[in-house]
Amino acid sequence: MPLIKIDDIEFEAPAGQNLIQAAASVGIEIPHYCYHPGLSVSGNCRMCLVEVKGPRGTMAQIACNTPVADGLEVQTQTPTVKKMRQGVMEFLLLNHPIDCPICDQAGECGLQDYYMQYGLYSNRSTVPKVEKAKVVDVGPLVVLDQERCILCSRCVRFCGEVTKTHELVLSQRGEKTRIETFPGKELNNPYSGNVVDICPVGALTSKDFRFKKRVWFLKSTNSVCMGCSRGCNISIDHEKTRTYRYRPRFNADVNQWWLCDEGRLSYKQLHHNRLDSALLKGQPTSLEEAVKTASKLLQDAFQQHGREAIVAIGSSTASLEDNFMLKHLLLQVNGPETVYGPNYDRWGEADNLLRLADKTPNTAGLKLLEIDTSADALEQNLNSQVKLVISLDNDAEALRKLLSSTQAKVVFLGSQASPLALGADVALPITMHAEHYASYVNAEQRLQKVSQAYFPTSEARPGWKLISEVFKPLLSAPPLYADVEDVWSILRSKYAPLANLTYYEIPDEGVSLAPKEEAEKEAVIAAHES
Amino acid sequence: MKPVKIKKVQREELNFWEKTYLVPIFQGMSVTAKHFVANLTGSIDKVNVDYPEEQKVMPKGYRGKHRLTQRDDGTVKCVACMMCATVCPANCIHIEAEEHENPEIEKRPKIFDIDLLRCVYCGYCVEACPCDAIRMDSGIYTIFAPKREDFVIHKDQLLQIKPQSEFAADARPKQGMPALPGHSAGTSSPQIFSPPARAENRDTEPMKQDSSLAPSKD
Repeated sequence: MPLIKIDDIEFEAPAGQNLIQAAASVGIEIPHYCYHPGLSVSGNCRMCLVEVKGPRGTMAQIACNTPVADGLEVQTQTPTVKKMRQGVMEFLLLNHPIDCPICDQAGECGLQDYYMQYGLYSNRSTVPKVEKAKVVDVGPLVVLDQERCILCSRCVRFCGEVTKTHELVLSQRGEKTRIETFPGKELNNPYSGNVVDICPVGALTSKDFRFKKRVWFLKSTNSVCMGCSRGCNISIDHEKTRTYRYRPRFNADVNQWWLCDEGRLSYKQLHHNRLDSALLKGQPTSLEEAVKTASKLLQDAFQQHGREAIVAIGSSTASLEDNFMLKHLLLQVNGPETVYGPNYDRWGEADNLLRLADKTPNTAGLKLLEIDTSADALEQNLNSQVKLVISLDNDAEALRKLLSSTQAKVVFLGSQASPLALGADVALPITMHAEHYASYVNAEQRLQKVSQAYFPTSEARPGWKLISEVFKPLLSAPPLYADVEDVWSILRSKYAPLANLTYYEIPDEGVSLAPKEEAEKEAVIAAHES
Repeated sequence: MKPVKIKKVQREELNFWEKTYLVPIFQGMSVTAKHFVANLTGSIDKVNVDYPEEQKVMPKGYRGKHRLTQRDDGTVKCVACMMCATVCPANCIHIEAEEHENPEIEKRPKIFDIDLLRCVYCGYCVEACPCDAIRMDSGIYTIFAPKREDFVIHKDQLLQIKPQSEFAADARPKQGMPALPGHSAGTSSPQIFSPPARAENRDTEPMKQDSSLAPSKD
């Protein structure tokens, strides 16, 4: 590896890295706008100018386009470098409208941050600012303000290189240069929301988040997108008990820097049509009462009709812990397992970037728990002997029709006030991913955890907690599950891939459960193909 | 420890008239009567005002009830940047923003509520405002309402409050603190944020309002 020297720190950097990456690895930040690790190098913002020692003396070079080389000596904090940064900032702000009070980017804006560090703090310009268009509707999710743009071209490169849809273009020349959509085109690709994230200034802002909240009020919690079985890593941005947006969180093995629009907008399900209280045949009741009724139904079915009278339906939308608890406790009571987990209606579009057809986050988790996910198996076993069906967050319309054709009583544990929940004999509200600690297994066999962002506003409890409450009277020695780690203490003893894991030690980027050799083999094949 | 010395003080003897207590009573009453008559006839400068018929004129810089300033066309000047709500130590300002039909103004408050019972009248909101949209120069120091809910005043009410027409003549700025520019009614500081007047001929259509703002996938 080449030996380089940045600000008197001598270290070895991997070949192929540029100076921004190499400096970051030793804790030196080189300011930049146009450089993005997920996109090609453009080198137009000039913010990352540093001094590099060469054969003809010290010269200014842009760090983003300078690969590390043996013996490279770089200075990033000299007065010259600071003066260059100040000059670049002055040019970038020359025609900037400075309308921070009405700009959604304020608080997370590259211009604001670097201005405080490197700005000139005064205005030498005497000519009026160039006027361009404001509030331009470029697509279903994105608003463009051409005046705020610093022409870094990140968005243009994103549409060209990542989605390959080429909607955006830099048009005209000189001070009139602006970002535009191609005539007749709209920025409506399924990943258009990412241009809002990568825009370092307030030029591209989200239409959905527009004026909803100032960003400094928001707190971020690491989580995983529930939109499909890819399990993209996200940050949940929330204030108190309300989520305002999802932002992609970098994970080299899953989603890199990106998130699809469908997943980005899926935060709305956290607040839409939630099951807020326990229901008895559609009538609101207290949680204790409902749990007691559910236990009674379970006890009656078991004692009067035997073990074949109970069928449990898990769901690939529920967490690994919830599904495990359902299977584990039913197994203790019922002997042979009668747990199914069909996915009826959550299927959708897929592409070769991130989106997968299976729109549930935990199908691989059900497979890991050896729960049968085929709809046929459930239909065959839903015969007249079945007196009680426990559905865990599985509220598909097809399932509702199937259940209404049988005489079985229905205990539903779920997060949405769906027709199935309203029609069930007992419905218990469970928490969603922003409200509990849980884990999910994505389509690539990666175990990822979500963290609790806030407490539920309603009576909702984690599914595994309610399931253990419901089963309590039937168990001879009711186990005490107070924390997700208690669930994991049994979970890891039952399933080999989880044997060496504890919940709180799952890293933020997740753990691959796929056998190592196979993963390596796949990587080799993938490398060969590309 | 030293022994405590005892000093004997001879009390002054009262004379005959003082022993009757009558003369000191009338002396005291005459002071009261003098002030009573002077106040009644107005022969001296009064300290009290005939409240509530007469209202006191507050000195310049007095932090009274808040008000929202208006643009020339009478609409609210506030752009809902939430600086006041952010800086407020009492957390008494609640703002919800919405789209302004003019793309050059872009943003305005849909809801602007101040909870006057929570407010500590610190004036930070006025300091923080980049648009000179909120002021406390109304001179209103009597905050009253029949119900608790009525102490939460809304945007319309805040817009109707007028500045105190004249400040007290004897009001002087605090020593060492120059009077802030832009804080007397009717003037504006050059540093205040307001979109400049612009040419009409834009080459891109501004975004359509409201209906188009809802994301199509919602």
